[in-house]
Amino acid sequence: MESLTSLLSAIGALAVLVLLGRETIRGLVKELRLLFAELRMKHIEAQLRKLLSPNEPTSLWSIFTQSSTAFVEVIKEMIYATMSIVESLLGLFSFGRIHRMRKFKVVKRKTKHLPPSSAQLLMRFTIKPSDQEVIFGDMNEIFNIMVKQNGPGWARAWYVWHAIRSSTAQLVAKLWKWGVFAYIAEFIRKIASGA
Amino acid sequence: MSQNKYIGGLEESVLIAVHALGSDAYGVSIHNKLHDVNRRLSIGSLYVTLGRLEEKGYISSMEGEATEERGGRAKRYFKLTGNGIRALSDAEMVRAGLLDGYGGLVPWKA
Repeated sequence: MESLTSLLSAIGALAVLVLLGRETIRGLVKELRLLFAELRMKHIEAQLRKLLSPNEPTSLWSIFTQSSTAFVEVIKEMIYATMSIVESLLGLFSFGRIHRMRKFKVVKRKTKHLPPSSAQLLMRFTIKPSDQEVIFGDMNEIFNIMVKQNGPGWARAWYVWHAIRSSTAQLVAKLWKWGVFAYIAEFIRKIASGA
Repeated sequence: MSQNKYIGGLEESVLIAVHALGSDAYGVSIHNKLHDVNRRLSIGSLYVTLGRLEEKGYISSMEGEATEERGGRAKRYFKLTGNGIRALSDAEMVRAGLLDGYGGLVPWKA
């Protein structure tokens, strides 16, 4: 009877997962990974505590094995951290599709496409502050029109290309205003005249 | 008053676009208007030109409303000043003077 109940509950759980869909399973896996990472951290902490405690009888071999295990765990953690950074960077270029899971509930954002943040960062550094608000607004407006007409990929490519062009134009204008080009021209003229 | 009365080709195009658009002349509409006549310039370079024209006293600007598709950011509307209209008509006169009696690149089509 007990085995039948457990079998039925397992089938029920599987059916729920299938009904919830692929995104939910993916989210669940992510949650489990986070849980395991936490457990690993606790394990490392325990190992280090054991290693550093003065009451524990220590031998050279035990110190070596424990420290090597801790070292391997630290390396593993570093690999996992690198993987998550790469994952988040890939997420940055995932054309605005953000999937999130909060307590087994999938929050899917499909319609809101955002311009590339790297291009926005570039413009923040190059465009003069008084024009930033308006230029960002205009770029966003054209970006949203392009998302509807040509799709998010094309719109993002357009945004990056125009961010580079706009930044270059603004930088050249700044250099012109500071008289850098006049200085270079004067310098070349001096060299040409042999002075 | 303007420091330099000479206006370049791009400045003239922008002035014409601002004049043609009337009360709806802001960054995107000016950009689209210029794009329609194959003047493909970025928003950044358009604002450099608009800033230069404003410094020369040919156009004036005022802040507009913020909309959702702009990410809550305000528009900046531009309109021609008296000096701008004068500069534009001067440029038009210069062009008309140069084209007077000019048969075109292909004379038999003129």
